[in-house]
Amino acid sequence: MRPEPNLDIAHLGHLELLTPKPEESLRFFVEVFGLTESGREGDSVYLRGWDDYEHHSLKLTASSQPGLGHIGLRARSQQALERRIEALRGSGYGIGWNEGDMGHGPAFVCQDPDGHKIELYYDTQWYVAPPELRPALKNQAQRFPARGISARRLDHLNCFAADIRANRLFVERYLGLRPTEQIVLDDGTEAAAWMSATNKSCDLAYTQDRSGAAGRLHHLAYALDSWEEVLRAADIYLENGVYIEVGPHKHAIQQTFFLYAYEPGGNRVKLANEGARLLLAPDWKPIIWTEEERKKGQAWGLKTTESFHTYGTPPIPPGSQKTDVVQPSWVVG
Amino acid sequence: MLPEPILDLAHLGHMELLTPKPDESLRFFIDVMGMTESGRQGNSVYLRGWDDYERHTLKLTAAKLPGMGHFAFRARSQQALERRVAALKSSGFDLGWTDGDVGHGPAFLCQDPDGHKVELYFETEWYDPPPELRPALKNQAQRFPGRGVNVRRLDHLNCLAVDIRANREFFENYLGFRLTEQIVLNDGTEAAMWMACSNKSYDFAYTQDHTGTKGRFHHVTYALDSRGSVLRAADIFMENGVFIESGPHKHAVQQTFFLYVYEPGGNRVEVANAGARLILAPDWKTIRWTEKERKRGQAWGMKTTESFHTYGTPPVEMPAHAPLVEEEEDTSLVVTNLDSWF
Repeated sequence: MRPEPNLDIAHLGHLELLTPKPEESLRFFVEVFGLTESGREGDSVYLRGWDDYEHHSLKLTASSQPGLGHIGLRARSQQALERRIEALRGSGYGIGWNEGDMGHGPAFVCQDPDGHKIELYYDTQWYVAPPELRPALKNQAQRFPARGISARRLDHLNCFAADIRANRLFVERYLGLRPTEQIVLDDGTEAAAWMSATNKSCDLAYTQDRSGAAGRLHHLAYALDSWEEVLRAADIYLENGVYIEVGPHKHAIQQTFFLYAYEPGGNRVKLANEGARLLLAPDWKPIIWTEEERKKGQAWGLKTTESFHTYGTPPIPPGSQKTDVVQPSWVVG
Repeated sequence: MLPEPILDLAHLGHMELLTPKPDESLRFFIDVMGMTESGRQGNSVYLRGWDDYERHTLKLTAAKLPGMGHFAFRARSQQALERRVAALKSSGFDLGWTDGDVGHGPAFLCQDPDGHKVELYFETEWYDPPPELRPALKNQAQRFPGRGVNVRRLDHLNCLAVDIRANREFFENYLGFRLTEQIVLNDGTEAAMWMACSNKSYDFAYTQDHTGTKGRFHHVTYALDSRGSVLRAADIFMENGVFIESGPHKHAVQQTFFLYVYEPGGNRVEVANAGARLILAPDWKTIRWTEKERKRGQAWGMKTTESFHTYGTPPVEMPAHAPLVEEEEDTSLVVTNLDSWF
């Protein structure tokens, strides 16, 4: 009999995004993306999509460089949280407890092999909308903002990492997330991994960083309700002078309908819709994509722009990039 | 510290639908709904949506009357299945093991307090499409059919039951389902419940059967990708002379964009889209709707047609002496005022 799956992590809860242009980034996320501010503290503003049930899903923090501050994963219970901490003890990946943050209680911080900081927490503050943001229907966290893109909820994030296999194994063994799709090159190198704690096809993905840097962010993604809304978002970006890097188009991997743009601080942000696709099988078999298959481009054949494979945050200063980098001919999904 | 949730069931796997018009029902599910046949045995044909990963999600069985044969949940593991069986043993709800069926291995059969048959299983057959149905992308179970409504995957089902509370407690205590939304009347009677074991807002629902008849069926639902697809489905049903009972419109409860029709055998079938709505909170707090709130109708105010509250399969006559709820001092609560309870 196979061992039972580890279900201790419930979902991606929030992430901290660093920006060197805090005012412009904030305006982007509130006015263009349609998020709602739910708090401020120190150098940070806390933001949320209208369907996020917790206090916030994005902590925007002023910083000298863009990039990722940390990732927050919510445990399924207090007991589940304690089991994960016990598993991390002595692993070399555990860092220790912090006192929590606005919106959630004490969190245990660890880091993946690439150095991304991951917070595990259970105690959280459910969002309570002020009177002017109360929804018409009581099964909704907040009134639909009808502002800009009106992004619905945090969906996933994608980190760059030098060694995909090491990071996949870390997330699998210590956190219990399951790989749903992977890219494996002809020489056996893992080039990308999509990991899930939920019925979403992905809560956290890793893409190979060939720059020699560590701990970088590829993108964060918020969900929209339909392909049509992703197309509308492209128009809204256009009107607001937001740089669209790639899309709208459909990914072959995970089949998500996508649109990638850069927010003013330089971080890549994605809007996505996957229709009614859910991974319901408790024993889902990871889909392994080969180099040859990935050369076919995205679902309908679009060749992804070069920057999609190299640009991450913080960006690599010109001249310091590894000179032996050979850009892959396959396309990261 | 709160007790930990039971996570032993993974999702609704399939259901058996009974039809007195097997040929016409089969044509409906294949040509109009856009499902694919994946097997036949005895009086049954096995059917699937293009995104269903198991061999089938609908077992269509010829019978004298329409209704539901059984519905089935896939356990998360063999160990999880055995834990649920142990919990059910000597509960009075357990019926025993079956040898399985086309597409899945041994299943443990139980029945809820209303008499609906519920199967639990783990071993299953992943769908392996024949060459002509192989998809272009390897992360998809089957080629998109491009036929009729093209329903994507089984989403949920809804049963009628006499005593909602007893059924809720059965599913919570023995099977580990979480109550995501419910309707509670002014007198405390539970009138409807929506329960989930996945991140879907519900895997199944129960609504009160006001005829006092046990074991009846309300509807089965397949998911579509967008509201646009649901609207297109309305046109396709119209072109094919399929009776549209209610919708397209948006439910207040669970906010699903819905469309209800009757298949030729008389069973109610829904196509629905929930947008990107998922229940991610592991400690989701049940949404309770009151009588007053439900009287506002569906999300945008549509009053649901009367038959939605009374018609189920197998059909029964509505007894003249059976009001939808016990009549009491609140005289607004007569049959015709109970708009849009679910």
